[in-house]
Amino acid sequence: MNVNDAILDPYLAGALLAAFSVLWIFLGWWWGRGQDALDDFMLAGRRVGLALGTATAMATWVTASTTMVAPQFAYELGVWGMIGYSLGSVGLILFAPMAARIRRLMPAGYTSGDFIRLRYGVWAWRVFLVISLVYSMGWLVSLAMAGGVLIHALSGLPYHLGMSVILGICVIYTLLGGLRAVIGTDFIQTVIIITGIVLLGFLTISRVGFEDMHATLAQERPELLNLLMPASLMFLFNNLLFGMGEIFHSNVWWSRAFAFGEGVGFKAYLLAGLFWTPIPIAAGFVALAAPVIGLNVPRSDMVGPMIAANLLGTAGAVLVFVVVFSALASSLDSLLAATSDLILEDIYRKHLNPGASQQHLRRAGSVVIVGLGLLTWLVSLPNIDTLGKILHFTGSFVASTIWPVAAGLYWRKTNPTGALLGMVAGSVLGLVVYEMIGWYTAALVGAVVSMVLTVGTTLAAPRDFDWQDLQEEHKA
Amino acid sequence: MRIFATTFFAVALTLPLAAQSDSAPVWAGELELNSSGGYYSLNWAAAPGSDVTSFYLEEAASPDFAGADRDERRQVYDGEDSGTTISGKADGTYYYRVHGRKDDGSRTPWSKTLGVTVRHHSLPRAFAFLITGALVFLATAVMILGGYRRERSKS
Amino acid sequence: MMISVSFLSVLVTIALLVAAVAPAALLAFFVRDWRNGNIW
Repeated sequence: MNVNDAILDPYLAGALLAAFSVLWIFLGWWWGRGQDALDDFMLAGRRVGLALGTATAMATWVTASTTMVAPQFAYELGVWGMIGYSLGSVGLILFAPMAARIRRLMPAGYTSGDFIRLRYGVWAWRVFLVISLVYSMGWLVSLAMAGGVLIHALSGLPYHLGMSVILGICVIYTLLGGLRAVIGTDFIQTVIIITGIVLLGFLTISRVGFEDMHATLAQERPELLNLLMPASLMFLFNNLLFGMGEIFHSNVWWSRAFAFGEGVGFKAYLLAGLFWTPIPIAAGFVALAAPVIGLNVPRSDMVGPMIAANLLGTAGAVLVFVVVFSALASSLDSLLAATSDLILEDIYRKHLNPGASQQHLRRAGSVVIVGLGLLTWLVSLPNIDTLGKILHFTGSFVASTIWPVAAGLYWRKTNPTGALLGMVAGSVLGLVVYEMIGWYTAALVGAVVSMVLTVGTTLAAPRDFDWQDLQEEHKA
Repeated sequence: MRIFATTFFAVALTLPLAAQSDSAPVWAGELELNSSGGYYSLNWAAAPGSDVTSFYLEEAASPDFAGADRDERRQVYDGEDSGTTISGKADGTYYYRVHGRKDDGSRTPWSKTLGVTVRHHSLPRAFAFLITGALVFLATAVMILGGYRRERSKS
Repeated sequence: MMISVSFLSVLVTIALLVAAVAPAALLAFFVRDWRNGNIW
């Protein structure tokens, strides 16, 4: 089988796309009825329960990367590749207590930006916003481009079509249904994703036993079984800290902390993290079956779908297509919603139009979502490879926010200037080592520099803070 | 006579060239590759004008394939694809060559030999990164969990 | 340090089992939330 042959017939793929589009958009419309209040639209009424809360945290963190890159990591970096990727759940788990504290400290808060502004002041807030928006755009574009590329690789449908359809659907149902639509569809998508991965995993084991897998690898690709593989060891904590930085700072996770009902946040994030942990291993190990069945893999980023198609035929191809599509949509919608919240609250309301009424903001919110979708579409259209990889550059940026955010939440005396300097110096120095040493150092350096500055300035010059100052009243 | 001889030789020399539309496949990239993670991809293509339908890729530990024992040469791939991904290799240099096969069963000559040098990062360096990262992570986790416990004991 | 067959099989099997529990648990929570009027 040639990788140039799409594994799924384009008409079938088109039909699947159409069917799911109709489903998600219908649900978006249905759940969006009567959501005119800002708190309903942006934060689903601040009452989301445990089931939906856990599912949305999981679904959003399972991106197409998890389903496609996990097998690639397993194929290239072996066992540590999979286990290392699984450690991406640590960010979710550590965010559990933070989510509870966020809701307790700021029951009327809207965004991560609100917290940084009230906690550290205007300049730290602006630096934080730059980091947040660069990261958000990077993630949005990488998701949209991945959508186009994957749909094309799986079915032969043109890049522009796949990319536009996925982005368009997500914009429409997020527009119609707000955070409720995002969270509701996330639940369904989570069940689809995990069921698909588990099915493929068990089928792979039944066709290709562990004995054969181990024996073939030991003979042909021994380093994949090596616990002391240097490349994997080097990446391990860089990736973990990158993930922590992503989760700790991004409004995607903060908006959920505000949206979950009282007492739900801690449990939802903890469960989501625990359930997410096995997914890279379950999705990734199937790649190790390729050498056993003699499947040639010309491009390692296609190893997952190729295995599925090889072992399960058209059913496998459909499975992969549906799983990847669900993973993409469940992350895209969350990102669209949370980023437009950030723009609406921290740029529009706080910088441009502080006196805006709730109804006005509700309408402006819709405009921002459409604008954001349009911008993402325009940037993704030319399919410039380096743009899709911008997310990789943000490692030092996001990791530099870890200590400012966490120490800001838990220490009363954190020095605001230290937090500001930590974010700036961490981001910049991280970028420098990214260029000079390698990508696997960026997040690590960003985190270390920021930690040292935050802790150092706080020890040298602690600043008192009243937690009550985080409670800001908005006029209705 | 001279003209005849020149023409004769000219034709005689070009004939084999014309018949040699079964020339060897060509590699898509460099002939010398490096890998620090033990994984790399190899890509090749049939020579332009040749009607090759499949490829046969071979690996050996020394560049001298012809001299090497049968046992020391390993078949890596036999099929229609124009590329493959190798992974999990330990330190060392690995040599590759590929030839094409046509419908009638005949083969093209071997391609040029390609060499890949695998040199994993030094283990001490890898551990240095590992330990630094672990310390930063632990410090952060301790700080958060400490704060969490303080909060719980208050309420 | 090469991992053994047992390591590989235990690792992957546990991962698959935990992953398999997830949708079941989510659906169970959903039913409970629904009964309490607590979905969202």
